[in-house]
Amino acid sequence: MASDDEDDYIFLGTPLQEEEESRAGQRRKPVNDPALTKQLPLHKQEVTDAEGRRRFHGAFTGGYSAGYYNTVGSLEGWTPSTFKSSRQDRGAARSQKVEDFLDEDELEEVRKSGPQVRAEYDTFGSTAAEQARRAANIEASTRDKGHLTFVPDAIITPVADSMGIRLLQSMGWRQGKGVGPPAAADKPQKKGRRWGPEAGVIPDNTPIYALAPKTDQHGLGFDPYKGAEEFRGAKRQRPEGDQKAGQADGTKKRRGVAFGTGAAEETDTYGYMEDYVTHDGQSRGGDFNFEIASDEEDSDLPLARGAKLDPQYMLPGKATPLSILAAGQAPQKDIIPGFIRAAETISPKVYPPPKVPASYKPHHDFPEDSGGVVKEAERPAREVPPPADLDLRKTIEAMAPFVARNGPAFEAVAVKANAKSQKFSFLVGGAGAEYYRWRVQVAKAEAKTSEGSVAQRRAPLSADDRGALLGEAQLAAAAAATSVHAGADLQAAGPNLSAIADSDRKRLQEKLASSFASATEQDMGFGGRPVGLHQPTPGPAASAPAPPPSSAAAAFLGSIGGRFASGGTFEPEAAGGLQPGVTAAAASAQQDAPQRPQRSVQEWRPEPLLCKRFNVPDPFKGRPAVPTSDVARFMSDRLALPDTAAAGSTALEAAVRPLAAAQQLPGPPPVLQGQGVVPQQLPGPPPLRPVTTDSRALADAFLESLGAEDSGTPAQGGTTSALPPPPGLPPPPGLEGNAPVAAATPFVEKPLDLFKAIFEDDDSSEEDDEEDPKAASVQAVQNPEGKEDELAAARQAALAARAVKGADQAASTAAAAPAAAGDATGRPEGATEGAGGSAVQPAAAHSGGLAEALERAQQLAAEKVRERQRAEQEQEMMRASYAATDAGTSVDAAKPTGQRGENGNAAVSEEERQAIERALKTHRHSKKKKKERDKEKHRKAKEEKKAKKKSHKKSKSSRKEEKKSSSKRRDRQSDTNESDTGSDELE
Amino acid sequence: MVPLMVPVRLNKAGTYCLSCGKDRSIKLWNPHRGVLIKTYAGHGYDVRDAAVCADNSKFASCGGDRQIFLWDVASGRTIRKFRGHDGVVNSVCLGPAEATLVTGGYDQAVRVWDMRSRSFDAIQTIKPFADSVTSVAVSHNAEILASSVDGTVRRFDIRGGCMYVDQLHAAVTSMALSNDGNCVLASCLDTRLRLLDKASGELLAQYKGHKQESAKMDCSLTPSDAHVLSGSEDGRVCYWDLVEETLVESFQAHSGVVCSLAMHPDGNLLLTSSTDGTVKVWQ
Repeated sequence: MASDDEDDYIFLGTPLQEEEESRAGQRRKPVNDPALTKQLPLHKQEVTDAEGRRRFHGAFTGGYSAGYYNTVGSLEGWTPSTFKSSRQDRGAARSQKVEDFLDEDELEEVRKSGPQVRAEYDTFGSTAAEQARRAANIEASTRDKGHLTFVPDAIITPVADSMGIRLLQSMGWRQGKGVGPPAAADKPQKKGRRWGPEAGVIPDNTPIYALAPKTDQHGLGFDPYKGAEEFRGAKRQRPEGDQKAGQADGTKKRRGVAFGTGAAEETDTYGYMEDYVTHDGQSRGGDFNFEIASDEEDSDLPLARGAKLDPQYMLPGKATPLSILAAGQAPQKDIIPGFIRAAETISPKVYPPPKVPASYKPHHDFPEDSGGVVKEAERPAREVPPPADLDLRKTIEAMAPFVARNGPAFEAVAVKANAKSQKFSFLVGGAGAEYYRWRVQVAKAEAKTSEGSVAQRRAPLSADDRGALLGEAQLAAAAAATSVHAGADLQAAGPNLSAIADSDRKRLQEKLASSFASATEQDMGFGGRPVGLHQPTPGPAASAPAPPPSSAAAAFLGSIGGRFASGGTFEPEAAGGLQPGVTAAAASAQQDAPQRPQRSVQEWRPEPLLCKRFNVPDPFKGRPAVPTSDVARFMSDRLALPDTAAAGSTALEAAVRPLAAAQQLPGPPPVLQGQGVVPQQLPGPPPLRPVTTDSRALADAFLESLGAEDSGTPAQGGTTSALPPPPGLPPPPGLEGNAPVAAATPFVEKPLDLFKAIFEDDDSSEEDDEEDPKAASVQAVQNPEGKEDELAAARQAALAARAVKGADQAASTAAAAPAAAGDATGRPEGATEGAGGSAVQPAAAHSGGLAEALERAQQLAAEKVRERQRAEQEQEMMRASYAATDAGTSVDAAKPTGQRGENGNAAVSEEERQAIERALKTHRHSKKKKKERDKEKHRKAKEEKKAKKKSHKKSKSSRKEEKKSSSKRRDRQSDTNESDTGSDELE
Repeated sequence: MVPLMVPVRLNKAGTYCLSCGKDRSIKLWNPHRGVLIKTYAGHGYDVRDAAVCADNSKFASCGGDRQIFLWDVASGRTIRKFRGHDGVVNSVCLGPAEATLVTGGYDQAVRVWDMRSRSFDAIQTIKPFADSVTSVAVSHNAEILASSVDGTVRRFDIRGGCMYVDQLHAAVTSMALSNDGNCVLASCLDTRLRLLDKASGELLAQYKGHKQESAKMDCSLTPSDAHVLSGSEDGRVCYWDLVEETLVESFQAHSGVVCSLAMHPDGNLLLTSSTDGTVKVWQ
């Protein structure tokens, strides 16, 4: 049946899914811990129900969450307020108010339109006070925050009425009312009424005029609505309207935050551009056209708005410009409201500028100092040939600047002082007086241009001017180079200036020409000109460079003339082609016809990438960025005059003692005495040839010797083949100054510092395995044996020092040498160990001077070390017990060694020596590496132990008695270990 | 008087023209029909010059906002911006194969920009000028020419690694290369146009008769190099015979200063623009 039933049904379409299943897809996430979700920002918090489904409330208004997952309660559910016994405080019965059960926005509404006592029933004025406060709050909130706000009012609310208010209240004043006697009623009162006099009406509260803060950006007093009152009204109405709208919204119980801005919410941009952009009431909104747009846009924009095209309100720059006062054309009604057409136009009367008289000079002529000399100075300069007498000329030239600077008073003093002197007769009209006058004049002109014109200076000071002002001495070379302007003059000037070699001068000229800007070039720049398109003056070349360089050049050249003591040929007029008059003339000649174009070519370095982009090979490829020939590290390199110096020195050589050059040390350049100023002021030229060879040979020898030291010392340090020379410094290179001597001793050996050689880490001997006594002994055997005598002393010292330093070895080890006494050379192991073993033997004293020395060293070392010894004893023992495996061999070898040592301790010095060698070597090795050092320590401990053992076996006479006895027990323990390991090793 | 710059530039084929102006926009016109095709806005200040790529897909413009924009003609969007000039950029021109962009500006510098890479910095900044650079040009054989208010026309020979400075003693407001590439026409503020031999720097001819005292005006040569053209501050356009130096023709074109000229490559069409805000097409 069932199957039949099923057959009867025909299913069309897809069956509906069960709701639960379909919902399951929507399940987004399990219920979150609200504590966690609360940490999220607001926009990420989601409201879901217990099953994790999202509850979306108010989807069209933005959604909101109500309570705890749409419930009133909390995570625990709805919890009523806990019971609280009121037995203790019965009087204060808690009264529940409506507000306790109201939402925030409900409260807001209540607050806005809460029940209030009407004014006439407001007996105590509390409502009025509340109202006032509320009004103040509202007013403060609406007011611009940038302006004065009643912040204290907003924050502090009075708890109790002030005394003044209370007084007023006691006098009958109520809050919300004005102060003053009740105003009489309108009707004239009758005295004798039945109900007594009629109560007057209390005056209203004085309104508080909060001055409206200025929120716009108009100028003070400007009223944009003047004459357009309707707009003012519109503006005033708007905020009120908005408020009303807001209240209306409130009654609609709008909740939550909507997406975007709702229809009721308007962005209040309306009022901002109100003053500038006119608009009609219908088309409010954001469609302000602030930009000066293109014409067609402008023309159709107002039309699109449906407003009539009012040409008045068009912005400037539009098709129809704003034309207000086109007199006679525009009728009165076209004028913008608030403006009236001026009745009369006032054209300010313009007075022409006063005429400058033709004789006016734009600068003031200061009257010169009175005095005959100055009067003379005013005369145009006329050059006077210098007197023939060179001394006189020099004197005059020295005197003139002083006189020029200090005035005639100085001259008078000079005259008085030198009245008798024939040399100064030029002061009083003697020989050379004319020349002197002229010099004074020149010096004065120079002083005037350099000092007096600071205020009127038109061009910035050049380096030369500044130097002249400051009285700085010019580098002679620079002066020489610049004074080449008047090359011929200087050539003829005399012996001093020609002292500069021609080649030097030429070179300097080249260098300095590129380094220093001359005065004329400096003013060629466009610094003073306005940048941009400008009106060129008719004669650009003539006007620009003319005046400043002339004065600057005069000053500069004058200063040069002053510096050179014998610059008699100095002629300011003929100063090197700087003739303003000529230039001006040439320029004026060129004024009519424009100048021909001038072409100049410079090197220009395109970037490699630029060349690549222009598909052009780099013209500077492979060449250095800066031409190296021109690079001098110091300016002085360029100013050196090697040729001059060479010439000078050769002259000197020829003149003064011929042998002096050979003996002279390289150092200060030769000073040319009395030969003019130039070489003295020069930086030192490179030393002269003959001297250089000597000194260079010396220096080379010295350097070589240093190199030999460095390389030679390590090689020699380990061997005994070469003996160091008696310690001393290598011959001082400079002082002896004998090239053959220096050359004869190119390999100066550093005195062999034995202490260092022994105790410092020596890399060259690293290849030795210090653990292997065989290797050490073999080396020792291989040593040449001829030079023991010389070595002896050094070794004694070394041993002593070693004993001091090697604290762990102490005295017993330090005296190791005699131990070898009876040892055969064929048994190196025995010899090595014998070194330790025989330390305690008094027989060591027999072995001659060396043994004595060792004994002494031992004692010394023992004294020093003894204090440390005690402290280290325990540690030492520990190490000894820890001794490594190879100790086993020594244990075995110890016995025969000891026996033989007993027999043949008739001190064979050679064997002793070998033992010492070994000891030294092993010790040196011990200092090599840290790791190896540890092993060495073990070995030493082993030796020590053996020695102890031996002595223990033989006699108790050792000075190490206590030490040994204390370590006996441990020794035995370690012995057992050693014997085990030793047997292994022997196999 | 601040000269209004209304440069007008034709593309290589002479089919379209660009006018740049004080209104911060560049307008693309069809000069044959007088149709405004597109307006390119983006410059913050007046646009001083523009240069069109050979394939008409892009053009570069420069202006008072010290920026150089590379525009996509079709979309009207800026492809690249080159920043680096410290002053108004007066002139822009494209290098060979449009691999570089050469600009000159008020910062007394000519800058060469790389169009192939996306680097922000100029390939090279050439700053030997003493005053504002008024116009730049690139010749066929790897030379950059620039004229400056300091009175010089400088030629930077990349192949030779040399800078040739031609001091003309008067501020050069604009400069044009002759079509054969052998001569340089420089418009100077002393009311003269000077024709220089590019190789030797020799003054070949001077052209007088127009009025130029303060404005930056373009000069040009006819495609056949037979005549020299220049605007005039009184609104005329003047034609000189190149060889004879005589004023052949002048006609009143505008009411304002004729500040820009562009000759159609076939020589039949002349575009002039003026400070009166108009671009006129002459046949």
